[in-house]
Amino acid sequence: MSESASQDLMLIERARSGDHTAFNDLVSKHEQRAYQYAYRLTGSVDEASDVVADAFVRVFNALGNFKGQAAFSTWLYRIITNCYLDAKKKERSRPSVSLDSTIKGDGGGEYERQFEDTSDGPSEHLERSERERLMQSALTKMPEYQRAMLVMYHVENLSYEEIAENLDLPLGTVKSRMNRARMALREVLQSQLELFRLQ
Amino acid sequence: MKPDKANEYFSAYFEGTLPEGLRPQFEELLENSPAVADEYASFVAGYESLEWLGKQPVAIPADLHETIMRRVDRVAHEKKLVKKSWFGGNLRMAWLGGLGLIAILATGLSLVRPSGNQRLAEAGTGIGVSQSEPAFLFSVVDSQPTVRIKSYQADTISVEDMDSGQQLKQFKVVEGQSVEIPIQREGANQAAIEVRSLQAQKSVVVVLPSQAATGALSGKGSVIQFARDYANRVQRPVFVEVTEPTKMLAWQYASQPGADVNFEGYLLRLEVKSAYVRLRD
Repeated sequence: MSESASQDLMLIERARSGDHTAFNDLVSKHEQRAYQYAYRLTGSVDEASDVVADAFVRVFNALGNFKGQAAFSTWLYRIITNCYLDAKKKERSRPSVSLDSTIKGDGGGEYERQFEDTSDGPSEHLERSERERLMQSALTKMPEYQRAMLVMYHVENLSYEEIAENLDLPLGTVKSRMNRARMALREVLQSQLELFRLQ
Repeated sequence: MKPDKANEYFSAYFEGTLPEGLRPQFEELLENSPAVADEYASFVAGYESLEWLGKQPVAIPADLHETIMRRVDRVAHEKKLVKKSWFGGNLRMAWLGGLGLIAILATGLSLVRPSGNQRLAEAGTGIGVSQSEPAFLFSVVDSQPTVRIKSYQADTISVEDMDSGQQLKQFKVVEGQSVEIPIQREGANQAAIEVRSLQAQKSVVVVLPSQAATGALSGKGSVIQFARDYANRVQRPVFVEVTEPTKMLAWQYASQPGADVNFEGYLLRLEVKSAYVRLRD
């Protein structure tokens, strides 16, 4: 067991016995990576913070169930993925609007709907490259499950085995679904690929 | 291998895990079918873009830890309440019932007294009281201090240089949207930039340090003057979110160049982070 994993186990053990500082330390240790994963899944600062906060609440509630058979980070990824999928499920059950939809103006004309997307409007001042914006936008157009797999593998550098464990799927299924996810992403990116090739 | 099935092997071929038996067939298709070759090239471009995306840093919100722990603390608190004994629970219910009765009586009284009504209305206008007020969040990304404002109503955000009184920028924000404002200045002089919500009349000030560090161990002045002094001392931007930024106070540094400060006249909270400092009531 790595030093980091045994440190996690120690913190979890202390947190289980009511040591709040230990849980605080556990959060501090993992929150950045958790947020990075959640941000790549959601593409939104607010949603990512929500997903991560929800995930740590679930961790807190389920500390007693953590047996230490897998690394804490693997368990956390699984919880974040579930929180994200649950949030999307809730979102679907609420009335929503399409990203591509337009709204009618007072004068009868149509204009683009404004979303809380940090790449729009005044936030264009952000130092985020166009390429990253396009990639993130393409990712957010993918089905949630495929998006989670792609982010875990390519952004979080998890192995196929770890993803299989996270998603509770056989290794072969993960590999074939991953290939399909990449193909689906290719479709989304089709119009932008020339731009990438030029860079 | 049929050309329409070739894409099933793209990942395995690219990652070098395609079985030896299939590899020559796949490579033959790549060579002889321009359609498969094109499709594979765009697949690789997408794959590499994903890898590239993974290497891009993600800015972590400055208040992420607070957001998480606030939610965890709430759950922990609720758990504790549930664990309390039946007797304790019922005592609490009786206590809450009593409070409720008092609240009903007080509300009834306030309805017949106009001055009571006015006080209730004013309570919602204080900083951070009304849910319609914008939320100000701070972060420093790549040494760039940024104020992020989440607005719950249509609003206009004004950015002003406090030294010259000049308006630097003005933004319209749609209800429910966020706006991120990088705080910039000309040259390396110290600057105090006010970011104000015109609708909610709520503002924060960002003080950017100059390169000249201060040496005095004590001082007197307004909250903003203290923020200027402190920004220079620690060479970090100071985000000021206090209700009375012009209020006068005296300060004394406990150590040089330590972060401990004793205040007189106005008790302020300093949160010293690695990239910035937050100054609050």
